[in-house]
Amino acid sequence: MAIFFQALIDGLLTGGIYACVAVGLSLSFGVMRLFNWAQGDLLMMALYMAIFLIQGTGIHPLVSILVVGPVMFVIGFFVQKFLLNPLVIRAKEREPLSVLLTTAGMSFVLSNLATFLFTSNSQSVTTPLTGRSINIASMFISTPKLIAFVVALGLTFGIQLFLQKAEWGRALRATSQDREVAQLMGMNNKLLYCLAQAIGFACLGVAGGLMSPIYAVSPSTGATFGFKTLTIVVLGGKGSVPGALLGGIIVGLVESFGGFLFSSLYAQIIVFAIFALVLFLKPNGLLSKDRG
Amino acid sequence: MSKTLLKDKIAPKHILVLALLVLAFLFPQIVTQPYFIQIAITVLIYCYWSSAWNIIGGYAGQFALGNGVYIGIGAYVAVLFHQEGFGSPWIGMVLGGVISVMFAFIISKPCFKLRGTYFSLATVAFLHIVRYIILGFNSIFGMETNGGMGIMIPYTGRWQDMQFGKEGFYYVILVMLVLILVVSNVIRTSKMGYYLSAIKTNQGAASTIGINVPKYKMMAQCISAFCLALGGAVYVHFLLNVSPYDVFGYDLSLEIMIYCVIGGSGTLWGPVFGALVLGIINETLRVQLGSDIAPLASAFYGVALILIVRFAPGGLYQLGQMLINKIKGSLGKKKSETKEVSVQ
Repeated sequence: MAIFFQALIDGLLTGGIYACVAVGLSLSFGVMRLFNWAQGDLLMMALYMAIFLIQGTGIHPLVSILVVGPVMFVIGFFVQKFLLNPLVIRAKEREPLSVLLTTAGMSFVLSNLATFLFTSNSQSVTTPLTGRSINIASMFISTPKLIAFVVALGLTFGIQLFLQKAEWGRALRATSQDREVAQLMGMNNKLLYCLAQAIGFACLGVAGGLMSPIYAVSPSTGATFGFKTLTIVVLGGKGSVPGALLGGIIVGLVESFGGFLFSSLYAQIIVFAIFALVLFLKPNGLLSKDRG
Repeated sequence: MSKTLLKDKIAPKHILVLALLVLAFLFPQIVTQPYFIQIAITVLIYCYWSSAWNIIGGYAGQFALGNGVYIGIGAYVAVLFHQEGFGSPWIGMVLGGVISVMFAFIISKPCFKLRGTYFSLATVAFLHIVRYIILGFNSIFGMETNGGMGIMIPYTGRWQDMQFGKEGFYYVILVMLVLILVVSNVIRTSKMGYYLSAIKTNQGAASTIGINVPKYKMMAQCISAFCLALGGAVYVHFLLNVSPYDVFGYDLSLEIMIYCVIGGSGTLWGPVFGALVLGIINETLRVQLGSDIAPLASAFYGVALILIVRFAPGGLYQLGQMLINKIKGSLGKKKSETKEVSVQ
């Protein structure tokens, strides 16, 4: 029974980390309907930044977030401004394939550049948080994962609040529903998209900082996390930020229990099988309201 | 008069194709270094796969990003068929194609209900599922697959075992490429090609005018899957090794798509053009700058893709065509101007 609870806790907490990564994508894919195929590789980039920063300066991983987050914010802003906005303006469809292709190109560039610059060996860093855990009733709760979980909750809540209440957030949702009409209503679509993408990238930066005590990074990190985040966002449903949190937790739990009951490989197969099932049965995600 | 005009319009194109074909067939005779033939084989197989992907991704406009799964299925079936003593890998190759088509039929039925990005995602999901199954099990249906280690193919050098030296492989793959171009051309100019083009442009409208959208998408997918599988079977016999990293790699699927899009998806020569140009650039960079730089050469694909999507969505092929037309146009203008002058 203790093992069961341990698996439950591990799954939940790992799910929190996944959610952190997925929240960023749920903004770009869910709200803006722009599909960022390079999500995993951008996370890899953030993780490299965090790990090198901590290696170089010896700062606390939570402090590294304050550096990596803003840097990623700026990168996201310019990626949207110079790479994606020109495509969005040209495209007629709501989910332009050209964006998918461009971000796939970005993914290719980032992962190969990482291999070139840092070789395919993995990099890791020992921080004050590494390996720390809280011991409650013979169960171990990993401290860095717990922090990541709490931050993921905070991020989800904050972004949801931003989308629902803030003037900018509402403008963003309006733009996602109908670009042209929103523009006619006087909204600066281009700037809005840049901001939203920047926030999405910043979430990745935060995730990178949070993951630095737990994960080693290598050029294949992008591939490992990339498709997983897509799975999570689709599970949660497009346009739903809380859905990303739910999707993250589901994937975390499936991996944890799958690994505990069978093997981690089976767990991966189950994750993808669930993903395919959700795509077919409820393509708009578990938390979606609309059907189209 | 009209006859000569027709001749003028068609002849140069046909001569060009014929010249290319002759050049391709003579290549191993002119360039005899095994190293160059090796590169040529790799480039040719990418041309072939890109052209096969083009049927579903280009003509039908369905971005099946996970279609590398059929390459893997074709390769594994052919190798296992031979290894388990059922017979020649040639029969296994055809069987691999048939199994790929069956697999495509089963998984594409629900996939085609999804549109755009979701369709791409679903196909990638199946690629990952099959890949993890191969990675995770040492035997499948009682046949040894050795998980991630893959299967070594013992060298015999007999053509019955689908082994015929570098030059032989070059010709086999070249013939396959010519065949797929013929098939592509037949599809493109047939009723099916026009239907696919309608589906690509506007699925809803295509369905409204009475095109059986699911049927034609499925046909395109099955043909593409069959051709990809055959290529997979031949290529692993050239490598003498089949492993899930090579044939079920997600990068492979992506690369094939990139070649096709950069060359010009939905055109007959685009994928060949893309794979030729990028393949040659990549291999040259690799040789000139050493293997340390290889990832940089791959990163170059990504940059090329971003640039093409942004500035020339029709691909290199269309870009070239536009240039030729422009040159022709300016020449024509000059001619007509002189004509006018002479009339005056």
